[in-house]
This record gives sequence, structure tokens and C-alpha cells, in this order.
Amino acid sequence: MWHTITGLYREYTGTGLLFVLYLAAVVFLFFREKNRERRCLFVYVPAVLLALYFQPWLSALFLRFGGEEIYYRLLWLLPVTLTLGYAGVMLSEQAKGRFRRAVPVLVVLLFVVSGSLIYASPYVHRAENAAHMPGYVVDVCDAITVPGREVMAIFPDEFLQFVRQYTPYVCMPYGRDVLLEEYNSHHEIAREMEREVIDAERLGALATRYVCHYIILPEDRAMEGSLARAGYPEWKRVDGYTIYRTDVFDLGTD
Amino acid sequence: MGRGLLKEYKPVWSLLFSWVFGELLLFGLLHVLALPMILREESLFLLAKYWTAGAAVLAVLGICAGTLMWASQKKARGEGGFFLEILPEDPKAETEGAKRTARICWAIFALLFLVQMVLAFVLTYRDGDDAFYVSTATQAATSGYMYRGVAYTGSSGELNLRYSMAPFPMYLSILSFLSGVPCVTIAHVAVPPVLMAMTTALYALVGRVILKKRADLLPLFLIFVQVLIFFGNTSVQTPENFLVARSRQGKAALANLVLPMLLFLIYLLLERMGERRKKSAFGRFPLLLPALAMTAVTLSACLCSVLGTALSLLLLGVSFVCSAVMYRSVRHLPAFLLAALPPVADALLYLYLV
Repeated sequence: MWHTITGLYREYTGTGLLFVLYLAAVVFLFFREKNRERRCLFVYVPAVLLALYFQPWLSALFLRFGGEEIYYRLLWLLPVTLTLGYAGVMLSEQAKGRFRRAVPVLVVLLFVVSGSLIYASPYVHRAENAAHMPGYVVDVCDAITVPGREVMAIFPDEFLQFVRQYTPYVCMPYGRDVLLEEYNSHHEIAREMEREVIDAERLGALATRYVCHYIILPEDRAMEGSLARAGYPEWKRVDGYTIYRTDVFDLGTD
Repeated sequence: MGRGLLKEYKPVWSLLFSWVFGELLLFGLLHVLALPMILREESLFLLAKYWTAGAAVLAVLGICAGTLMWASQKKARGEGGFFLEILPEDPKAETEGAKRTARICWAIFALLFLVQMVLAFVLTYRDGDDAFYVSTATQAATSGYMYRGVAYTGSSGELNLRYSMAPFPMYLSILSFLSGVPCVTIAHVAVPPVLMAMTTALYALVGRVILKKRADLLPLFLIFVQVLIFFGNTSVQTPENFLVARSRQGKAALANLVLPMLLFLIYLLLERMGERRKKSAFGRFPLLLPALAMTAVTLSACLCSVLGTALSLLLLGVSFVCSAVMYRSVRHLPAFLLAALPPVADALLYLYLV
């Protein structure tokens, strides 16, 4: 239990520099803050909450009902940004003479050096459209959508997270849950799609069994056999992806 | 509510409070309406109608109460124009140098805020959990079915009870249904900048109140806050990361709006406890208004995340114990008990159903 608590704490605080600054700010306020309400909410309440966070009985209670991975959210109760901002202002206000202008700049620099710029995260991308979805998802989904009905399609992994956000009219035999270890979700089509060289006829047979109208694959995907022979002839090429459309199930488009 | 709680401040501050608090009140209203309707398998479209009607009633009541309160406060003091501060300013803040510095700081803060808003539109953060939350919202917005079926695939299924206990995605669905804008656009383009702006407004409010007479230091405080938000990506789990990366998820609203607002309201309540002799808008019950506001906020915590119930209860409990020891008084216990009612009821319902 202790390893879980400290592990989550380390994961939450990252390098720990900003959190060290926060703890320093709490200590600073403990000595300098005279106002009773602010002492209570910026010093004593966080101190008790932090002490509680490291209590195995509390973590056991949270883990039982919420799951291990979310216990770190208890640390959200610590007003880190507020306390650091307020302590920074107090420090700046108390600076005298030539340090008066330097202190706020130093405080900002400390925050910058201790933290990490969120916009530099590898998960941040330039928005490509009004839906903030990858362009290839929008283009492929728009191509396969049939007005007035739902369609079922098999997608490569990079689509799974986005398709159902963009349109509820495109269904999938398996979704993003196959990518999550915690769900331990396996799907026979997903296993087939993961193979280095896809067995086209087996994939076609599975697609037919799951009543799929489309199979979407990267244009350069290695494949053995022909999807056309399995009832999925090539229909369109969009943004580097080949769309195979069923000739077994009626889509009502003709 | 805003006018009653922030009567010493310019009405512009109470308006700012009303904006943020009003949103949380709408969250609370949605939770009260959505939960039974989801369990009874009602349609989202019907929920949207009830919620809109409820929101209209709350808005009319709020405007009437606020106007009456403002008028009575103005009459009582014989002053109190819209931009007139009732709190006396610190003499230090009135020097020409301090005013110039404050103006420069306001300009820097405005620039940082503008950058944040622009980036919210031109950049996107691809978070995996959106595959569940936004898909759930998209499905409900178009079909009317709430938490029916598997969001990841679109296949039919049983009611997803655990997630339906915190139906924040239905807020996105309703906005999409009412506006006609696709849910994915509401979730990724419309909601994030609004949540960020509200968070900044809340920090401004808290800063204004805790800095008291030194209002000239507020822009510096806001610069620090903005820098901390920009550089708060120490891990993918911090509230600052959630604010930018997962702003369409209830958890982001919980961490950045609901919990800080609850802390702020506890602060206002404790301030009132320290001012026993002053008369409040509620005369003999000075803690009633903050207590009601806290109750609405804990209700909104239940909408945002299942964990919101536990976190709001923990914050209430620890704050009460610490303040009771500090003030050597438990007369604020009823206020905390009232605020604890929604999360306790929600937790009991959760344990009963799940």
C-alpha cells in the first residue's frame, strides 16, 4: 500500500520541484501570514490533507471504491496554484529597494524552471478542423457515412480514439478499449489487424460475421490474399487510407 | 448570490462571481434532473427541456434577488456606484508608481490570457479518455439515449451505471442539442476556452478577496497564476494539465472550478464567522448564504465526477475540523452539514445502485 501511495505521489509531482516550492510557500505563509482564514485554508487544511494522503487506511478506502489509478486526485485538494501565487505576491510586496522589481521576475523564473510547459507536450497538436479531430478521421468518416443510417466499419488503431467522438453514425466492432491494458479486452478482428501481414480472406470473413460495411486500412498495409474475394472490393482512397466496401450487405446507397 | 456574498466589493466582482457560480449552479441543477431521468431511461431531449426551464427560473430569481440586494445595499450606504469600491484602499496602493506598475502588470496578464485563449482554439490535445466521455455525449446528443450502449463502439448494452452517476457529458450533449453545433465541436472548441476563462475569473475573484485592500497587487497575482497554469504540466495528472488537456471532461471542471470555488466559499464563510457583529443580508443567519452556495457547489461536484463526492466531503470535513479548532467554535457545523448533504446522498445512492 505504501509503495502505491508514494508511487502515485511521485508520479503526480513529476520532478517534484514545483511541489517543493509549494511546500516552501506553505512554510513561508505559516510564519508570515497573520490572517486567520488564510492561515486556516492555505496552511492548516493543506497540511492535514497531505498528512491524510499518506494514510494507508484512507488510500485503502479510496482504492476500494475508486481504483488505484485515481488516488492521486486527492492531491487536487491542495490549492497549489493559489498558494504559490499568493506567496509570490507576498514575497514581492515585502521586497525592498532594488530587489522590489527583481523579486517578481525571479518568482516567475522559478515557476518556469520548476514546471513544464503544457503546450510543449507531445499530445498537443495543431487543430486541423472545427472538430479538433485529425483530418484523416474526418475525411474517412465523411466518406463512409450514409445519411439516415448507421454503418459498421473496421479501423486501424489510430482511428479508434476519434471515430465515435466525431460521429455516432459510424459504429465499430471494437473500440479504444482494446488498446487499454486495464480492460484486458481482446477482439478477434483486433488480433487480425495487429498481424504484420494481414490475412485478407480471414479479415473479410470476420468482417462479414460482424456485419461490417467497411474495412479501412493504410494504403501501404501488407496483406496476403484479396479482400475483394472476401466480399470487400476496394472502394476509395482517402488521405493515405484505402476504404474497402462490402458487396454483401446492402447500404441503401444505390 | 454574488451580490450577497461580495457586498463590500464593486458590483463588477459580484457579476464575475455570478458568472462562475451560475455555471456551477447549472451543473447542480443538471445533476438533480439528469440522475433520475437516466435511471428511468428518459430521453436527453426531455432533459434538455427541463434543464432549460429550470435554468430560466433560476436566472430570473437570481436577477431579481441580486437587483433587490444591490438596491438595498446602495440605499443603506447612500453610495455604491457600479464601479465604486466600498473597501478602503491601502495608502501604499495609491502612489503613482504603484498605479503604473499595476497597469503594466494588467497588460502582461491580459497578454498571457489572450495567448491562452488563442491557443485553446488553434491547438488541440488528444487525450485518450475523450474516446469515452465525448463519444458518450455525442451519442446522447444525436440519439437522445443517455448512457445506453457502449460508447467506444456504438453497440447496444445495459445502462452504464457507474459513469451515469456523474453525467457531466450530458452537459455537452445538451449544449449541442440546444445550439445545433456538433457535440464534438462543443466539446473540443467551445467548452475549453470557457472553462479556462472561468478558472481565470475564479482566480481573479479569490485574488481580489484575499488581497483585500491591496487590489493593486491583483494583476501580479494573476500573472503568477497564469504562468503556473502554463507551466503546470509537471505530470499529466495536475489540475493545470487537466485544464488545458481535458477541459471537456468533468474531472477538469472538478479540479479547476468546483474544488477551488468550494475552498473560496469556505473562506468567505470563515470571514463571516470572524465578523459576528456585522449584519449580513440574512440578518440573524449570516452563514446561511455561503452555506447555500457551498451546497450548490458540492452538488455540482457530484455531476463532474464520481470522485467529486469523496473529494468535496473530504475538503468540507478537514476544513471544518481545522476551522473549529482555530475559532474554538462549532457554530458553523450546520453550514458544513448542509453542504455535505448532496455528496452524502450521492455516495449512498452510488453504494446502493452500483
